[in-house]
Amino acid sequence: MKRKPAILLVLLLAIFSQACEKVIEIDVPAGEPKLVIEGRVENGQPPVVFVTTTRGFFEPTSLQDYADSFVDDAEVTVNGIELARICSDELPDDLLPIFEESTGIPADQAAELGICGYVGLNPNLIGEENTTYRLEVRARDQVLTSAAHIPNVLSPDSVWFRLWADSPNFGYVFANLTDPDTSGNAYRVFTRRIGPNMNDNPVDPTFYPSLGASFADDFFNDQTIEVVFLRGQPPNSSRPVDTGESARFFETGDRFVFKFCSTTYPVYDFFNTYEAQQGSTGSPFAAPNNLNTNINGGLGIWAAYSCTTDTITAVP
Amino acid sequence: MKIPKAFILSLILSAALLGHRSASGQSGVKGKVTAAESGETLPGATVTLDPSGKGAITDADGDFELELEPGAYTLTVRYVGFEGQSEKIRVKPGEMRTANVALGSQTLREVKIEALGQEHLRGAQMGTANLDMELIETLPAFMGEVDLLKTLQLLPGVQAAGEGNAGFYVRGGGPDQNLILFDGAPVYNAAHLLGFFSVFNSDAIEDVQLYKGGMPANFGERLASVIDVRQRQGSKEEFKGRGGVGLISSRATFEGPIKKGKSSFIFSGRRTYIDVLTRPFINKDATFGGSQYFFYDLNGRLDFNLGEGSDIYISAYAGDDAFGFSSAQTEFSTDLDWGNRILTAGWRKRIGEKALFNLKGTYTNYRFGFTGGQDEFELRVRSDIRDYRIQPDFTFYLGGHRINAGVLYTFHDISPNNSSAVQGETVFDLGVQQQYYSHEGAAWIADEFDIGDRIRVEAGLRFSGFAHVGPFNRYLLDANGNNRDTVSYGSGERVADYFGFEPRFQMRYKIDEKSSVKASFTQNYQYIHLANISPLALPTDVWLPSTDLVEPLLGRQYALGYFRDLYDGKFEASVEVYYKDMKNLVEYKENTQPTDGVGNNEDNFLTFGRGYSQGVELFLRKVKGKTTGWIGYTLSKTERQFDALNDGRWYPAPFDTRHDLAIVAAHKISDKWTVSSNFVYGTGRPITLPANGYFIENRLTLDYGPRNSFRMADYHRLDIAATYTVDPMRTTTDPVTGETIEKQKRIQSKWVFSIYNVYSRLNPYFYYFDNEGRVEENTFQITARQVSLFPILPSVTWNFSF
Repeated sequence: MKRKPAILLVLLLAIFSQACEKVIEIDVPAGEPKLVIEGRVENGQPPVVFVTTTRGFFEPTSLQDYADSFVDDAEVTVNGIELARICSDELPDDLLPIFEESTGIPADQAAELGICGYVGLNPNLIGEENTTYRLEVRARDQVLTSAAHIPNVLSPDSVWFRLWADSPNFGYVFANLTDPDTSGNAYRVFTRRIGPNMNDNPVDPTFYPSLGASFADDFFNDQTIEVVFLRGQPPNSSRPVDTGESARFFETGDRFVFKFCSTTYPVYDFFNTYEAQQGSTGSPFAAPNNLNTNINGGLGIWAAYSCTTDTITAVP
Repeated sequence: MKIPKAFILSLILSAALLGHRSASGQSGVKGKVTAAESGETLPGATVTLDPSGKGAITDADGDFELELEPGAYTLTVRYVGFEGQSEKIRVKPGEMRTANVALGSQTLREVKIEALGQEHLRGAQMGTANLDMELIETLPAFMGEVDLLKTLQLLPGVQAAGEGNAGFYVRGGGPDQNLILFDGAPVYNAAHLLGFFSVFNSDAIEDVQLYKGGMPANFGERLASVIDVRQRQGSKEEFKGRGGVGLISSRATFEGPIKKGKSSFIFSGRRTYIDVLTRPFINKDATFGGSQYFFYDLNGRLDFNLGEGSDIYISAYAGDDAFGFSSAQTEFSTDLDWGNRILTAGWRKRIGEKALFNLKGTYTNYRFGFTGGQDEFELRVRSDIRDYRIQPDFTFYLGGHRINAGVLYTFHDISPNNSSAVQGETVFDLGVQQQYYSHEGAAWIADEFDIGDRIRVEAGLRFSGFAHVGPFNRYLLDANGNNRDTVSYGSGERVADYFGFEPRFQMRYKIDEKSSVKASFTQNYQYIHLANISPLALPTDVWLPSTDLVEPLLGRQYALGYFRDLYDGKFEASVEVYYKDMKNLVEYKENTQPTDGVGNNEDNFLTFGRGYSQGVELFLRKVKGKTTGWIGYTLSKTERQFDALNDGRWYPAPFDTRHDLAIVAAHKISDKWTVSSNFVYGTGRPITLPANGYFIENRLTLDYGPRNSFRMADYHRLDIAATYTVDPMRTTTDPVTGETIEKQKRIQSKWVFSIYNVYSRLNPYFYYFDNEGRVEENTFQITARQVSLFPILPSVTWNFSF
């Protein structure tokens, strides 16, 4: 059903091929800046939180503008324990790749931009299954709160690669998943190409969420189902492997890590609206909806995951 | 709903009493009303005698008879779709004068939207317009497809839903607030191809009547308007045909007598052939190689004159849109189909000279289906609406009163967005399928009468009721939207019911022979709602009845108008102001996704609010002469307020158009050539745009600003058309006498050349935002783009008849 608006758009554009478009100037006044949280805690990992502010949608966004949107004087606590502020321009060189892994910003540039995040270095904050993590952020005279629960780890029954239709090289990843008998289970999948492979495809610096890979058991509670996933890739990527016929597909010979995470329904709800918004940009049929945040007093997401990984080589 | 027996009994007794013939020897007038061109009798025509205040309705044979005191009268005959006619008569003592009237059908020679001269001054009704197909066929047509709903959009107070779109908004009402009737049966989706064409094949339509203001009491069910479309009757005298060949579709109509003079048939068909024409040129291996689209319409009607003032008819419509897409590359396929099935059966019986009984039964089915699949996964979604209606009503004259009374009962069977999904052998649990059963009823009585020479009143009272009944499961949700409990109702068990009075009042005060003022008040309940997630009207939109959660819409409209004839009746002018308030409007809650209703009640995701619309409508039209047409201008404002949307603040309705202008003109150059044009202008449609942006997982995320706080660029467009009538006569030489003689050609034809959007204005259809590059590479930028659908579009259509 999610595809209906997209199909209607295809119909519209296919029939009226004379449709034309032009670039226009739009003068929309920026709204009041709001605080945005992007935080996650994962089993076996410390919590990491970034605090930013919104920017006028049509304002120019250079890398420096982006760096300036990070709030570096916030007070961030998880379960009452304050997180340490870590800024990219203060990091030793050997930790910059870890920063890159978290933010996607190349290490050499991160060293110059003072982008600050908040990390839970206290061992008590290392993510554990079946544990709730309460977040509190104080910044700009505001208090933002949220809570996230790491569910029990659930591994897929099996994961495999399969070529699609007539393609000799490209394919998807399939997983068999047995959902627990409790309703409201939610999942999210990430992939990371680690190579090397015979195709010389670039390795990914971090995990990328697979498109449409945030889902819940609304319709398959307590059932075993087969789920198909595409390859996650960087947003607006210009890498050859991320464009053209290879975009979003795994290629024969690829080695990659398949990361399967259980999460909670509010996190699914956020990313479901996030993906809907990303997928509907430009559609005249889509309603202009904001995301379903789980942050009280602000925007963004405080996400908790319990994840397992599988390393797969794409062999038909 | 229970209909009071006393009410029905009183109607029958009234009719019986009125049916009693008076003693012979009295003076009066009698006659037969026929169609001038075909000679067909016109049952149901209205005959009035001023200043007696008396009137009659022609019977199934087109006859009427009225007793009158001796004196001078103006006899006026009106019949929808025909030119009204008035003549002075004098009735002598003891004389039953005969006055046969032949009404001319509306022809190309006069372009008009209301045939009867001065009707806009005489009648009490305001906010109405009648369009005949001859007019509509003369005007420029989008892609050559004549469309009555698009012509309606050229009237003041009626606003288009968008570029090339057959949808429309009337005086601030949403698209669901227009009751579209086809021979008395409601049409839930009157659009083909996402709204670019209406379902009404012009060859099959007699005329259309629009009520946007003072709705008579015999109409209701919607807040904003009634569009009463009547299908043509076939000729009872001879076999005929007509049709047209256009760029994207062709159509054909055949009609004729079943039993000459007594019964007739008419059948029409129309189909697009984009799919057929493009098939040879599409590479099947291309991404869209498996795509196809077409729509079709089939219309039919049978009429039988049973004699003794009685006739019956059966009218039917079937139409579908079908879209298919499949891609071998991605293993993805989908099919979309939607369409209407409509059936009407009616019986009309004249009782005495002054009463007409109508009994109508209708069946309407609108359905939408979606099937999508990839690999072993398949998802099906179906929405279905079935309405079964029966409507008896009487129209009769009592002294100087024209009274209409009747009842209407509808059984609604609505199943919105029912889904099923399978993957291989796994069947997904999508919950219990949704089905809403409900009863809707109404009873009304309306009286039209004069008070003195200057005042005419049309007053009515409608009582309507609605009951939502089981079987039905109500899912009770907790604060997080999860199902916490279920309440089950058994078959026929009452879930919710609503009742309400709908008073209607219209009054005309005649200032002098050239001007009058009118005032009206209308209160309506609407028990059926359209919920649309998308800002555009789509076939996927969900119709829902009133339920225990969804209260009926309530609308009140107040209107005042001044009407005047100018330059000896060559021009008609009017100014109407209106104010309308609406309660219990429905919208989906923020962030509702199409899948949310699966395994749940669709109405659990609705939120409720109020709205108002106010405006001034100016209308100036030229009704006589070689050049005819009109200028319509509307200044209006429509806002809505929902506690759960836009932080509870008022916001412009998505179709709020501050200024709306239409200029329509047609000029008859000669017997062969007629040219016409229309120009439209409208303030840009309000839309919601992102005010802020932020990044989540390095992707730009939108934070939308206040709802509908931005307006797209203004819309304007000029269309022109020229109609060439091929000489209907041919010249031959008599082989015996050698004289030159003229004979009528067997096939008459016209060429219609039309240019849509003459100056190729790129009107906005929608805006979108493209973000390219990557922030970490310092190449990120956002670009706003406007998509426009139609630049200049010439078309040519050949119409024929025989």
